[in-house]
Amino acid sequence: MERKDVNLSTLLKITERRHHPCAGARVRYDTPQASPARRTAAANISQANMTANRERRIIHLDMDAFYASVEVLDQPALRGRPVIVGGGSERGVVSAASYEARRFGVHSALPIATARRLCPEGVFLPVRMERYREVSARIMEIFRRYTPLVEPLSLDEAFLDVTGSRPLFGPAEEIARTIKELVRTEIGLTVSAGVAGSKLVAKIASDLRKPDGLTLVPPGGEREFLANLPIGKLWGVGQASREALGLMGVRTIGDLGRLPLSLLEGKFGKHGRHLHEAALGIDNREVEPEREMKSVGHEETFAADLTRRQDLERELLALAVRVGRRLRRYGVRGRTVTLKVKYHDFKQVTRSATLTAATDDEGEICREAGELLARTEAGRKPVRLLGISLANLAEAGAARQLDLFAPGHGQAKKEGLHRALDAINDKYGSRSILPAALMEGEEEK
Amino acid sequence: MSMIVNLSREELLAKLASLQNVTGKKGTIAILSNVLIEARNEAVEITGTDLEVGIRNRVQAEVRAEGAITLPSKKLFEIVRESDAAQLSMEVRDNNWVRIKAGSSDYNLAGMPAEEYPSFPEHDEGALVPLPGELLKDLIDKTFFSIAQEGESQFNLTGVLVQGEQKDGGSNVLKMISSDGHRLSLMEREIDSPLAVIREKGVIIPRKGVQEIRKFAEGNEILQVGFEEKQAVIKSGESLMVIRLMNGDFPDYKGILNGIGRERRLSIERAPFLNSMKRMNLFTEDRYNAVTFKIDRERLVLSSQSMDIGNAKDELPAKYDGDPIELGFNGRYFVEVLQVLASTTVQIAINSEESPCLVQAEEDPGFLSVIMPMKL
Repeated sequence: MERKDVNLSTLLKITERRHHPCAGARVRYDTPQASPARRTAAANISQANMTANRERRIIHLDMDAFYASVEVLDQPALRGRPVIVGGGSERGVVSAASYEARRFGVHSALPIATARRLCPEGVFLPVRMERYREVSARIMEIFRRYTPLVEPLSLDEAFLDVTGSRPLFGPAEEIARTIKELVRTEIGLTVSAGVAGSKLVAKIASDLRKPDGLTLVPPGGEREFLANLPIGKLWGVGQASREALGLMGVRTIGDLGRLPLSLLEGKFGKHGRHLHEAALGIDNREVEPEREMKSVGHEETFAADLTRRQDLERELLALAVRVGRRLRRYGVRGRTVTLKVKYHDFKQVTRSATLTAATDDEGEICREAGELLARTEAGRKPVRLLGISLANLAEAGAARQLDLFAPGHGQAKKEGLHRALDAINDKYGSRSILPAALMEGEEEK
Repeated sequence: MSMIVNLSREELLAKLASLQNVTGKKGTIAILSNVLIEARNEAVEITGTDLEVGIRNRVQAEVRAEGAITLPSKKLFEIVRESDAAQLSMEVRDNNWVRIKAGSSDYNLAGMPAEEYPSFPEHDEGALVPLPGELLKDLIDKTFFSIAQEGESQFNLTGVLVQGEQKDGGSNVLKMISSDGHRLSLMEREIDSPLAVIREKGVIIPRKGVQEIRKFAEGNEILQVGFEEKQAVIKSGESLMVIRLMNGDFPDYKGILNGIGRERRLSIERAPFLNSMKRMNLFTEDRYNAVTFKIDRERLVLSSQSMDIGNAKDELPAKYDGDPIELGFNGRYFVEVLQVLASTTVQIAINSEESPCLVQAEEDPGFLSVIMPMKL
C-alpha cells in the first residue's frame, strides 16, 4: 500500500513538472557559430530542405498583453481601462501594458515615471510572476492537447509543430483557430497565432494582426508573405542593421532578399548569411519540446584564435551576459558553473565550480568563469572556443536562502534591475543595453 | 650517533592519537604524513604538522642515545595501538630504518630523515596568558557549527573570529564569532586578564585549528594561550600547539547586529521548539530545509513540505509583540542554535520576511545568533 502511495506522488510530481512552462525547456547548447566549411554544408542542406520546409506546419502562439490581460482577468472591473504592469517603484519599467494603455503610447520597457506622465489615468499594478506562471501552465496544457511538440519561449509564447497532428485534428489553421477558442473559453484570454512552414515566418505572422489575430502563410508562400514587410520585422535586425541596410536602399524584407549574398556577407560577415536566408524565409530550426532542463549555456567559436587576456575576458563577459539572460528567460538559476575551453589544437578542457547559492546574475557568472579561466592554459595557448554553462538548476521562484552580508534588499534591487534590462533588450533587441566592456565597436555597426 | 629510546606505550599512544587529525590529511608533501621524533635530555618530542596547525607533544622517556627521525604517523600509531607491551623501544638504523621492539614483536619501519621535516615555528612565551579550558570549550561549542565550509563563501568565513573587548564596567571579555554567510553565532565570556594582543580587529583561527583547541580544552583545566601577529599559541602541560592565523578580514558583523531591531520579539520555550523543528526537518527538501514560520500574538505554526515525501505541521504556544507574519527559515539553522543554547525559553527578534532575525536567551547571556530567512 505504502509503495503505491510513493509511486503516486512521484507520478503527480512528474505531471506537475511537465506542465510547468519553466521547469522544463531544453537540454542543449545553442548552435555554435559554424565554421566556414560547416556553413557551406549547412547552406546546401537548407537549399535541399526547401521542399521539405513546405511540408512542415508550425504555429506560433503569442498571448496578447499577457501580464496586463491576466490582471484584467482577475479584476474584471479593470476591463477597458489602461492597465500597466511593472516595477515595484517609480524607478521601475513597464513589463506589460494593456492595449488601452498602448493607445497612450505606453509600451513595455518604458520607465514607469514616463508611463505615468503619458497615461495619468492608467491603473499601475505590480508584477505578480507566480500568478502569470500559473495561468501560463494552463495555457501550455491546452497547446499540448494538439501536439507533443510544444516549445515554450517564455510564459506567454510558444511554437507548436502540428505537422503530424493534421490527420487527427485537421489543417494547421483549423488547429490554430480551435486553440484560440479554447484559450478564450477556458482561460478567458486572447492569443494571436501565426501559421507557417517555419518558426521564423510563424513568429512574424503571429505579430501581424495583434490582438486576437490569426495570420496564415500558405505552404510555399513565405517569400511572398515577407516581401512587403519592413526589415525591422525580421529577427536579428535591430536598429543598427536597419540603418545600415537603409543606406543600401533596403526598406522591405523583399529588398533584402534581392541583395546578393556576397554583398551581405561582405558587409555583415556571418550575420549576412543569416539575413539573406531569413529574407528568403529559410529557417530549418526544429520545434524542440521541453524536457527536464539539465543545464543552460552558450558557447562561441572565434573567427580568429584568442590569446590576449582582455579579449578572453571580453568574450567571457559576452557569454555570461547571454547565459544570464537565458537563465532569467527560463526562470531558473544555476548553482554549478562550467567553463569549456577549446584550444587552437582542438584539445578541450572544462573547469567547474559550485556556488553557495544558485544564480542568474551575469556579473556573478562572469566572475566565477574568470576564476575558472585562470585554472586553464587559456592565453598561454591560443583559444578557439569558449563556453559557459550553468547546471544544478533550481526554479527561480523556489525557496532561496538569503545572504547575511549582501542583504536582501540588495538582491531584490538586482532582480529589479535585471527585469528592467531584460524588458528593454526584449523590446529593442538584445544589444540595446550591454556592459560597457562590450560596447566597443558597437557604434560602427 | 643514532637515536635509541625506551617509552611507555600508553603515553606514546595518547600523544600519537592527538596528532592523527593533523597528519592524516592527504597532501602533496609526503613528509607531512610523518611525525617527527626527537630524543633529547630525558624526553622525546613528537611533532606533527599540516603547515596550518602544528602540535608538539613531549613524552617522558629513557633516552639511551639522542637523535631524531620521522616515521609514518598512521602506521606508527597503529603499531603502538595493537601492541600489548607496556614498553616500546625505538632504534634508528642505517638508511633511516627504525627498529621498533614491543614485547615479543619486532618491526622495521622505513622513516625519512629529520632534517627534511619543516621547522616548528618559534613562539613568544611571555605573551601567554592562562585561560580556563572550560571557557574555551564553551566559546567553541557555541560557534563551531556556523563556520563556513571550504569553498562555500567568498568571504573569509572558514574560521572563527576571536576578539577581546573591554566592557564599559572595566571587565574584559573574550568573544568568538563565526558565520557561513547565511547565519552568524557569537559567544562571549568574561575573562580575568585582558588578552592585550587581541586587538579590536581580532584574529581568525581556521576551522581545523578551532577543532584542535577544542580537544586541548577538553582535558585541561587551564590552558596557556597567546595570540601573535601571524599565529595562535596554545600550551597545556606537555603539549604545545601553534596555529597559523588566516589572512584577511572578517565581514562587519557589528554593523549587522546594530541594524537589527529588537522590538518585535517572539518568546518561546526552547525544548518543545527544538523538538518540533527536528520533526519539521523530516519533511524538507535536502538542499535548503525550508520550514515556514507562521507567527501571531499567541502562537507559532511551523510547517514544511517535501515534494517527494509529504508535509508536516506543528503548532506551539508563543508570545509575539508584532503584527502576524509568515516567513521561511532553513530548519537546520534553528536546530543547531537551539541545541547549544542553555535556557528554558528563547527570545527571537523577527522584523520582516527578508531581514536578519536575532536569537537570544536571557538565561544564556553571552550568546546570540543571527539567522537570515529564506525567500519562499
